[in-house]
Amino acid sequence: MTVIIAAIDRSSAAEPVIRAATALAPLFDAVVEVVHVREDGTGFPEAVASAAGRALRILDGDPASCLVDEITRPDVVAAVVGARGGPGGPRPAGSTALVVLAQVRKPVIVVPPEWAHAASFERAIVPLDAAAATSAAVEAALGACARAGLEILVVHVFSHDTLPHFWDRPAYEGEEWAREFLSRHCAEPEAHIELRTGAPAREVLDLVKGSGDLIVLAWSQDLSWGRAHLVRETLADSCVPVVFVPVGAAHHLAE
Amino acid sequence: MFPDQTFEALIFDWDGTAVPDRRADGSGMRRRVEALCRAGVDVAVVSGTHVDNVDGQLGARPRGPGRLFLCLNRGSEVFEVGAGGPELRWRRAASKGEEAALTRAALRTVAALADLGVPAEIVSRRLNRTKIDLIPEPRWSDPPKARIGELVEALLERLARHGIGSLAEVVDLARREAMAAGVSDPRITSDAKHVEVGLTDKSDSARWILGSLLGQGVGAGLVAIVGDEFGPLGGMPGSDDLMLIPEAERAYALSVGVEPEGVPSGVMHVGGGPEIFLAFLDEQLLRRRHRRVPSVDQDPAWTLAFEGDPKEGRRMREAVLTLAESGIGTRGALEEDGPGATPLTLVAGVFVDGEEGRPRLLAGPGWTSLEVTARRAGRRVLDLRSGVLWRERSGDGAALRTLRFASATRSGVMAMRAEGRADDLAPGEALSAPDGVETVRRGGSHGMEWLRATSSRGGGILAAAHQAVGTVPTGCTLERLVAYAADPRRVPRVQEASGRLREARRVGFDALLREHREAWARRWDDAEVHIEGDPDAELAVRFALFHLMASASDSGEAAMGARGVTGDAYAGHVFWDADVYALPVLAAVRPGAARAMLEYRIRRLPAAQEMAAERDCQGARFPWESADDGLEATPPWASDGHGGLLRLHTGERADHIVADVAWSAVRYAQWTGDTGFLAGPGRQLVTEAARYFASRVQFDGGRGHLYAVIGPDEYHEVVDDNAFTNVMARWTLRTAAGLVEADDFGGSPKDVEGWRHTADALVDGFDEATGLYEQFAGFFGLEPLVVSEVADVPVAADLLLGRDRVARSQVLKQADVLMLHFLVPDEVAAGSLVANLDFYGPRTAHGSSLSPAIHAALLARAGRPEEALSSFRLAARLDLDDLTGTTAGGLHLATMGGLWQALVHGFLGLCLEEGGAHLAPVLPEGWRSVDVTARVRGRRVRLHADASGGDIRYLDDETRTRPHSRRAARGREEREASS
Repeated sequence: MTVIIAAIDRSSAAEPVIRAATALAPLFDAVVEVVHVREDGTGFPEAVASAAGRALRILDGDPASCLVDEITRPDVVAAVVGARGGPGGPRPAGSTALVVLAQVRKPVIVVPPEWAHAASFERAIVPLDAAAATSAAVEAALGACARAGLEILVVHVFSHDTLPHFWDRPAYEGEEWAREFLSRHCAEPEAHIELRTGAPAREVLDLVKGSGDLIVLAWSQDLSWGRAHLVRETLADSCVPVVFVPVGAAHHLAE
Repeated sequence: MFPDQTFEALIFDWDGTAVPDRRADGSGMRRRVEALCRAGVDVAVVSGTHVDNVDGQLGARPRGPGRLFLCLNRGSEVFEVGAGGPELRWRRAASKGEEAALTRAALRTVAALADLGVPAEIVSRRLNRTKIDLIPEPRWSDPPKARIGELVEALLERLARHGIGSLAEVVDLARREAMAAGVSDPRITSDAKHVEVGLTDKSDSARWILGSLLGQGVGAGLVAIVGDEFGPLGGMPGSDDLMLIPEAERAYALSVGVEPEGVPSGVMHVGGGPEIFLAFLDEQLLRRRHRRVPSVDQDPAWTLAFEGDPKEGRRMREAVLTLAESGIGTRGALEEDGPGATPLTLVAGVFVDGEEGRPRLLAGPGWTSLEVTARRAGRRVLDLRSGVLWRERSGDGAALRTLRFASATRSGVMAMRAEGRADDLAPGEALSAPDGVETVRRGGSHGMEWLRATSSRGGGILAAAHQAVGTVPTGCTLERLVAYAADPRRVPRVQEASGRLREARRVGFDALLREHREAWARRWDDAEVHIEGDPDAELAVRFALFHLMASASDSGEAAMGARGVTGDAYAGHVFWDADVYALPVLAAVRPGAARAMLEYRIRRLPAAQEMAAERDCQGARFPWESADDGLEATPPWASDGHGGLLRLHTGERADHIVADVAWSAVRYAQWTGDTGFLAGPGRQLVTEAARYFASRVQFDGGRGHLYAVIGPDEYHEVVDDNAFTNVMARWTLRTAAGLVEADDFGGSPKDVEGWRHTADALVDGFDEATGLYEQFAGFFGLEPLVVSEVADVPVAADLLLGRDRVARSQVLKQADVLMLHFLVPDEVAAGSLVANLDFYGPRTAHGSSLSPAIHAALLARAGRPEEALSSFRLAARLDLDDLTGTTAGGLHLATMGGLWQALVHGFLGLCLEEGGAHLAPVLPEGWRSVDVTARVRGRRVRLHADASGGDIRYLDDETRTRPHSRRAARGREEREASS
């Protein structure tokens, strides 16, 4: 039996994390396991888990290290964590999520505390940068989303490297460029695409229309200075869950 | 033993190769030669002897379609043999002086040998040569080829006794004596027993026959050269080695001789003599009977080759590998199709309703699909010279070969052959229904199947097909013949296609291919390009010409969309790309197609007149974007790149299209000399354009203005007095006035007066002090932004900076003012090119694929060939390197047209004048010479330029014009002196 870990803390993100894990479990063909790394009592997380009808397993130790160890278990296919703690928490907002994202070679879904959607996702927004590795990383995820009936919206924000040299007639050039981009980078025949110019994170987040949206983001797990702007900004500002898929890792997704 | 290839031509030696000796029975050869010619193979016998000997022994009387040539007398004569026997086609005629020199050469050689103690005798005097016997002993009077090794030994012993180390020394002696005797280019050959001193040799035969084959579209890679003496004899190259001239580099060379000292590299040695040669011919005949896939001449100067089929670039390659003819095009998708492929067949001008009722090209039935196991592309080669697409993949479980073409002689006929292992290849259905087309009907009878796609707009595309499957020892073969019928306005009947298919079946695949190759060879005769020193540029121009010539029909009307029929991007709509960029090229190389493009506009004059009336104007206002009905097809909105919509104004405001159409009509007439056109059906294209501008111009204080227009630079929309539009309008008005004044047709004296008045009144934005044309009123007040401050060109500056920013700046999308210097240089201020180039050049982002070629032309005219070459290369590689990222949607025909024009009008500086033409070449350093063939006023010309200048040669009657410059005159004198 494959598992999707829902890692809850004492913040308002806990309940959305469990909800998101429940909604995503069919994509991964997995069961949900709710865990909490103990910090100053477990009453709140137990109550949240209980309210969701879920058992809770308590872990002891450094939160990030514990979570990484759990997610690394061979039967675990993905993990769901909260985006950021509430004000006044013991760590900088999002820091646990960042550590987990950087170290785990499996999909990690980060859920913002304000996410209020109920049962299932309706649309996957997928930023692609035209790198073959990025497209390969999300291919399995997109397939699972398509099989689950999600609408797939690919978004490409022109970068310095991908900005076209020529753009003959806007009415047609965008249409053809987009068609070829999808042909090269997205195997899903029903996928749509938006081409944008500007700041990538702003353009991607601008596309989110409702709580039924999910962002699927491939990334290199490189958090060094000047890198992963889209990851940082999405973590900080997204109001919907974001699936972070490490480039180059093998992923299990429902056949 | 023999190569896995079907040859289109066989060149072979006679004595020792085809027959053991001159007394042998030649009937076996005769049967095979006649069978090969019947099968369409060209055959050439190359021998040192004369026609009575060879024809007397061979006696073949072929009736075609393959030809039989006898290249005899050691390179001095060529006979073509038909049903009536040999007829002389060519003879090298020696002058009296040369005859005398040959005699002296032979005498001197014999004397020199005698001085060394080697007795030799002059044994015969043949056409253009004398023959000296080096070993005049009875026992060696007529040695058979099989004893060649013994003969050589005996000869070398004889020579060694007199201190001569090799046969090569004897040949060198003969050469020295010949040159001393006055033979300037002596051809010394030896078969070990003899030395011949002559004016020609087998290399001349090879050159003649390979040249003839090339004229039929058969390149050296399709030729087998067979002999028995390729290898050295006594230190001398074998006589058959002379046939392996540089032009024969890609030919297959086979030796059936003894070859005691081996064969040169590249020659396959099988030995066995004439018996083996007959087996080789039998194998070739069997391949023909088995309908094996023909080969392709992989000449890098004429082919594009692709290995594999990576996902990235798959659709781009389909566009590049499109085969089209007369406006029916089929993309070069793999026969097994598959995900990500778009194996479209499109017909120019046949539209269907798309989104929101906007017309787009109708997808026709597909004809290239095969059921193939193990999807693996292998190697694909597009041969531009012969217009075929060839594919080969090898390996266990995957062997496959295909060849397809769109007949250049029979409109709408397509043909394909395939072969593969029985478990790798199955034919499947000959025709496949196009994706996304709702109305498709299928039927068939008597071995023919048909499929028809019909359009909601009334037209349709129908294909009828027949395929034959065969079994061969290596697997199975397939031959598929298809005929298309299409009409934009009515549903084509099955009989229209089935009749063509019947005729194609009657003619047969091999004959169809032969006539197709010959047709392309004739096309290239009228459109040849050779750039010595830059093979990449040369191939790019050939690629451009190939697709331009194939994209338009040369009868009826031709609607050339922005991407032709190589893809469905731009919906097949016609823009000024066709009139200004593509048509001028076709006027020069395929005038019928240019005329058909104009016919497209002529037939839509009524719609254009209606559109003018809707604007409260007179005359004709052609649509900026045109489909089938001649009405405006520009969509009103496009994505703005930020999730919003952008309002498009080009349909309403790009009035320069009216002048562009008029200009194309005049350019066609100038190039072709079709004086009847502008006096007849083409007149209205100019006069109605003049009427439109005359009614569109608004006067203010005696000055004429065109308000609220869009020029070529679409970064600045809805501007006043765009210089390009105004000057083109002025040119149109003046041209119309001139035409009407000349023959009093198409207008009244009052019209003429009005047009001239309006033309003179139009502001053009020219400032005499600076020499600059202001692109539009207020342009100089915009932010003076130079593109290099923000990005490297080319760049889509509107995406980079946003449309609002570019609109407020002086950054241009493409040549705008400079288009005037390109299209109507006589209409702009003399000497103003450099100033405007220096001003607008740095401000041009080249965000339009139409731009680089124009700049290349103008930079060359401005005397900056290296900068020009840089822009030229950008245009040349646009599709081949997919620089736009959208080649997958179709090739950029406007760029292709601009490329040729940049070469001819830019680098060669061709200018057409009343009754003549001249060149003013400016070549980049790496271009040693440029030769371009075209038709000017119906006469075939070769434009030539090199470091010494340029000249124009009329090829029909070999008349040479006066060269443009004194440097060119010196060059001509030098050439005349050397001949």
